[in-house]
Amino acid sequence: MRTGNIERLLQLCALLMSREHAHTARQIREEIPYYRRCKTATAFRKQLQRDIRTLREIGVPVEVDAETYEYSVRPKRYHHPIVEFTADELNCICLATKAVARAFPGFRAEAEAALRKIQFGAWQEARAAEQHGAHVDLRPVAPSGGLEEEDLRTAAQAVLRRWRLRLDYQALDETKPVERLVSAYGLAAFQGQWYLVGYCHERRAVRTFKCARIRALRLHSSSPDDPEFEMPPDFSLRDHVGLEYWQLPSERGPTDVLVRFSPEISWWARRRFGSFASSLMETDAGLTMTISAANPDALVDMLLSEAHRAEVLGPPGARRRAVQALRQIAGEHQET
Amino acid sequence: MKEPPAQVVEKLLTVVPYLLSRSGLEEGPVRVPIQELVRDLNVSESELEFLASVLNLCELPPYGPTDTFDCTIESGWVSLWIARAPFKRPVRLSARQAEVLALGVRAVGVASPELAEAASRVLRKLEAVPAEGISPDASRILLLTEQAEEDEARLRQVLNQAMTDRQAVRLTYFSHFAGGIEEVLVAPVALLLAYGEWYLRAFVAGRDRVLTFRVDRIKDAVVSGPAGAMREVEKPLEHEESLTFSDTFPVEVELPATAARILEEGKPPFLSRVHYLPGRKRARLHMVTNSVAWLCRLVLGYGGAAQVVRPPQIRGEVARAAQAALAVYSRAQS
Repeated sequence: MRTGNIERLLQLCALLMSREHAHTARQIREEIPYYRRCKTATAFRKQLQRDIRTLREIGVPVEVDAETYEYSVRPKRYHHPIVEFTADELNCICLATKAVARAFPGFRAEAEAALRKIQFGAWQEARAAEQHGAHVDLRPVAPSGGLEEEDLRTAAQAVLRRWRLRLDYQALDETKPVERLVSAYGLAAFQGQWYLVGYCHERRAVRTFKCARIRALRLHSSSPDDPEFEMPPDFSLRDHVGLEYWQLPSERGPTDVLVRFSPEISWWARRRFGSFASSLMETDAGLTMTISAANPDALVDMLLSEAHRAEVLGPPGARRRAVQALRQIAGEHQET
Repeated sequence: MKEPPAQVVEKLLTVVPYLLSRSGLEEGPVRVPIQELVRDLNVSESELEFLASVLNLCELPPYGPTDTFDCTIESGWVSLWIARAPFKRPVRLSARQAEVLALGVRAVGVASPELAEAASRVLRKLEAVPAEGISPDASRILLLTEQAEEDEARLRQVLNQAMTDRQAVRLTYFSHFAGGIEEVLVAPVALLLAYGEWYLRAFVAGRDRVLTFRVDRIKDAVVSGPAGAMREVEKPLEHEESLTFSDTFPVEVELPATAARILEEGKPPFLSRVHYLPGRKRARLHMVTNSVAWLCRLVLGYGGAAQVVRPPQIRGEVARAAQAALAVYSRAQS
């Protein structure tokens, strides 16, 4: 690594903070040895602009006077303010940093840098918070799941900057990838997988793309500066990601499924389906509840995995489906 | 060290004020135990050595004899001296850093109801910190986790406290592997949120090994006394390792190709190989498991679309599980 770049950035930062008055580009060139060595004024200007962009990216608030073209950093705006966090807030921040580092390796450096700044001056409290949460680990997605680290970062950039992406996407029912142009609305990790949600220009609708099925991903424009689309005001990422299969709309439409769980697992059923259920009734025979399912067939199939511990009571079509499936399984697996 | 210069500068802009804050500029060189720096700033010793070497090469304007850094690392101590430096506190959070942290904080708030209130307070404070604020677009990147129920949050608190106090816990657990409710005495090792679910890693008495339990299937957890007699397991094992079975047997299951592809995308540790049949409408999964009960659940959950191909004795177990369920359906509905 060339330490000259680091020294130059530190010098520029210190120079812009060190005096009460702002500096013109010419003064900056005179004060910093590296810039003096630039062969042309154009080379110096380009280098200065790159350096200012870099400093801004790490949080240094470099200001430019629109009339005089003088540069400055006001110490009051530079220094991270003293923000007091309670023990549980610090615990939450420590866990959040772990979660980001695990789920989003491309953003690990940013998360850890943020943690260092936030903990500044509150080391003892931070240590106590970290110790409190030492046994807890957050890994919202599998490290190997989905896109390459760099692609995921590009997708996140596109969401944050409202850029369009070109995807080579292989849908579940297609044999080879198809190119899609997508306005990147949102990105979410759910049950070990990343999902990109966006407006698909080919399908002319909002679509959810499982990142594990994206074979290649790139920005539509090589270096977009401005946002490339407007967000629909009523867009909510949670409407598109975070639903189980039985909660996804189906041809049969939403149906209330009446289910009885055996006493052995009624506590679990209450925990698992309680927020989607109505008319809960607990008796010696178990817990009966009505579960509202957008895809009742998928719910019935899922309940079959509970075998004798869950019984679909109605509607008749759902019960029939359960019985037929069980008969089929019993018949097909009969020992010969 | 392959970090880009911006990241190194960002670290220096925190390390320098950290060291200076440990005394005062006028009070001469600061000496801080290296382990404290490593712990507080989450940087390794080798990183610190590199940062010190960079600092020693840097001069700051106006380049007088006292405008150079003198940073040394010796016998476990770091010392720094510079006559004046404008960096009194770290540089404020960049918008990106605040956004990334907010992303994690939102995930914690959803995953842990007990921390939801703290998470929203943190978010409010973060939004007020950077000059530009957090872009509203930042909320469109989410780490979604299952919305945990209140009683599950209470369980996690009990388990976390037991780990801190080194207590053993008696679990009532709905085990898919055992095929029903079981009671086990465990020494909790770690709580892990992975693949959208909370897991407990715990050393299990009588089995002499660390096993993984899904927290949503723990019916109850009761502290039962010091865990001292049980084997100490200081370091949480990797989640990937935790899902690796032992005493396994091979199984072959046939199911629709789309279902196989979905399973394949999740890269579950039990899946050895997928073989798509001619026409690619069906596929055969070659997998390993150590639990018949778990395999029966898997097959039943496909609603008749999946079949165990071999071994034959497992086919019989699946048939028996389906018949037991049918017996429930054949009773008169009450």
